[in-house]
Amino acid sequence: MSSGNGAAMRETENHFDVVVVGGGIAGLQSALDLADQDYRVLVVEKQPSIGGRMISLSKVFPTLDCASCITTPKMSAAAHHSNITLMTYTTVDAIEPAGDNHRLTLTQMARYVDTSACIGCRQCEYVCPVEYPDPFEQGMGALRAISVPFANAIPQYAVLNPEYCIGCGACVRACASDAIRLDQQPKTLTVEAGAVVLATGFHLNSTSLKPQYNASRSKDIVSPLQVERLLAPHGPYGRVLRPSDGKIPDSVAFVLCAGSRDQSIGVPYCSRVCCMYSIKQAMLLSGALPTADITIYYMDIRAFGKGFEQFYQNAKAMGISFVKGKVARITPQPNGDLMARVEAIEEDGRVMENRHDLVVLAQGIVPELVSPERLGAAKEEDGFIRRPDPLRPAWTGREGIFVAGTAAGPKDIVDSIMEAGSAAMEASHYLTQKRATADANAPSLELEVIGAASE
Amino acid sequence: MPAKLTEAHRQALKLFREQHSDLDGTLKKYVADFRHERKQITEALRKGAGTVPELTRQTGLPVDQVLWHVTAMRKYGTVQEAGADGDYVKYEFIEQNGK
Ligand SMILES: Cc1cc2nc3c(=O)[nH]c(=O)nc-3n(C[C@H](O)[C@H](O)[C@H](O)COP(=O)(O)OP(=O)(O)OC[C@H]3O[C@@H](n4cnc5c(N)ncnc54)[C@H](O)[C@@H]3O)c2cc1C
Ligand code: SF4
Ligand code: SF4
Repeated sequence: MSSGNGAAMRETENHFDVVVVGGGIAGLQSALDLADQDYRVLVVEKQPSIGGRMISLSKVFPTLDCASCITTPKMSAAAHHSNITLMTYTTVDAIEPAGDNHRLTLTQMARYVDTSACIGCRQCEYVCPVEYPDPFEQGMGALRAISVPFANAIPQYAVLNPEYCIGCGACVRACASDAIRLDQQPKTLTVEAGAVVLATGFHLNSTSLKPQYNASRSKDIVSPLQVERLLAPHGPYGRVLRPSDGKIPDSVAFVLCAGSRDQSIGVPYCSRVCCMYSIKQAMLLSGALPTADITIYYMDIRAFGKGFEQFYQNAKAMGISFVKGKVARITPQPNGDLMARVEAIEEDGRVMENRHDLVVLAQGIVPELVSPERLGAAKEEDGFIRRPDPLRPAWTGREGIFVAGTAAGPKDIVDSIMEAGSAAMEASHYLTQKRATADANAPSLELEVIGAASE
Repeated sequence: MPAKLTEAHRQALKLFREQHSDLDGTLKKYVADFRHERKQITEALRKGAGTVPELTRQTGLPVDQVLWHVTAMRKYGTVQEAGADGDYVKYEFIEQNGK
């Protein structure tokens, strides 16, 4: 939340050397790499906190490091960097050329809180009488109509959700800093940038895409993001419970490729991380629920990265059962159990009916940004941002616009970070060249002096 | 409540209420249900610790809603775990000072 000076190419208050769209791990890494080279960077994030998907994960494959422990330092480094300005709760809606710069149109949503006064004390939250399903906890926990979004959110400012606020004024009375502004309105802003990095990330497609899995009929047919929260140290229940009735599950199943590699649901590609995060979740579940049976139904396991095959072998050695088979149907029973009908490929197509408490559907990774055209880029057939030059994988093919992380296609954290570094390098190179051209075209001081003398 | 509302606060509240007037009553209904459910669960818990299925039997509310309320109350410090009963965790009410 700092605006530094002394950085390169500063022109006006709303001009930045680089604007990074998206404050997930990829965007933050690009921003830090550029800011360390003394470029002035603006990071625009549409959520009230930076951190992206990674801040909500439990532990990360293949190292099993605690996700929030390794994300929080990056978030805080970006927030405290003198060359980085953060704008949260703000979307980038359009990017257009403006001379040899880019003009970005932003919408800053109303937080109903004056961030220059809020100290994140949560007194407002403690007195607010309305609670609703917490999006950060995938609906499993509760959030009050005014709250600091989650414990390690950055920045630590309260946000009021007008959909659930009854306008009782209790928070206004409780706030000793007088920070609450119920008359705040959304704002449209424009900023200019020398270069842009698009790091808009991904979301998961719906668990209901395949009607044979009946996800809409049971709260225990869950998304992998829910499982991340169930496993997180400060997750909604403080332990692993099934969301329908709080039972401690004794049988959990994973269905791989439940939202990918299927033309009929519009995701013909492989989502690349589902095999690995499912194996990770299975391992963590077997730690959290030592007596539970854990089964992974798969067609093939794609463990292509460094250390991944070993990770897979470790999971097998831990007693997680891997069943090569096609899950034809999941049927919720009246007593809450889930029956999975599976064709076991390695047993000549024998059909099994297995009982589980909790079934996780490995959904597909789809781009968060629906219309890259509006942000100055183009779209690949699969919907992700196009990168026309195979030798420049961080370039969108548009002058000065680069891409990093899952905005360009499904990938894991390590690959997102590598691509972020590469996008930062491309942006830096582009700005240096632009400046060199500008310098070459500018009349030199010496010539002007000579010219003046000879007059 | 510690502080009083100033005239500026009152104007802001008025504008907020105008801009979010809940014409079809969706929010009003949501909040009424929320309060009613929370009250029932609190009353059941005041009689003694219970599991989610037990609290469901006592209140007649949907079981997933009972779990959600207990989870919320645990987050905001009015409920804590009190051992387990078979496959279910038991929850107990924490009496707040002066309430
Ligand atoms: C269940 C699950 C488990 C996983 N586990 C692991 C693991 O263990 N190890 C691992 O390596 N990887 C794992 N991954 C993959 C990992 O989550 C991603 O690689 C990583 O989070 C990608 O980061 P990102 O910055 O590209 O995207 P995101 O985290 O999605 O960040 C993008 C950000 O951009 C913002 N944004 C989007 N559009 C706009 C806009 N128009 N204006 C402003 N802001 C915008 C979004 O709000 C978001 O904060 C897992 C994924 C899933 C689904
Ligand atoms: S709005 Fe006021 S009460 Fe709420 S967290 Fe900020 S300073 Fe504290
Ligand atoms: S005015 Fe809204 S946000 Fe503030 S305490 Fe009342 S319901 Fe909660």
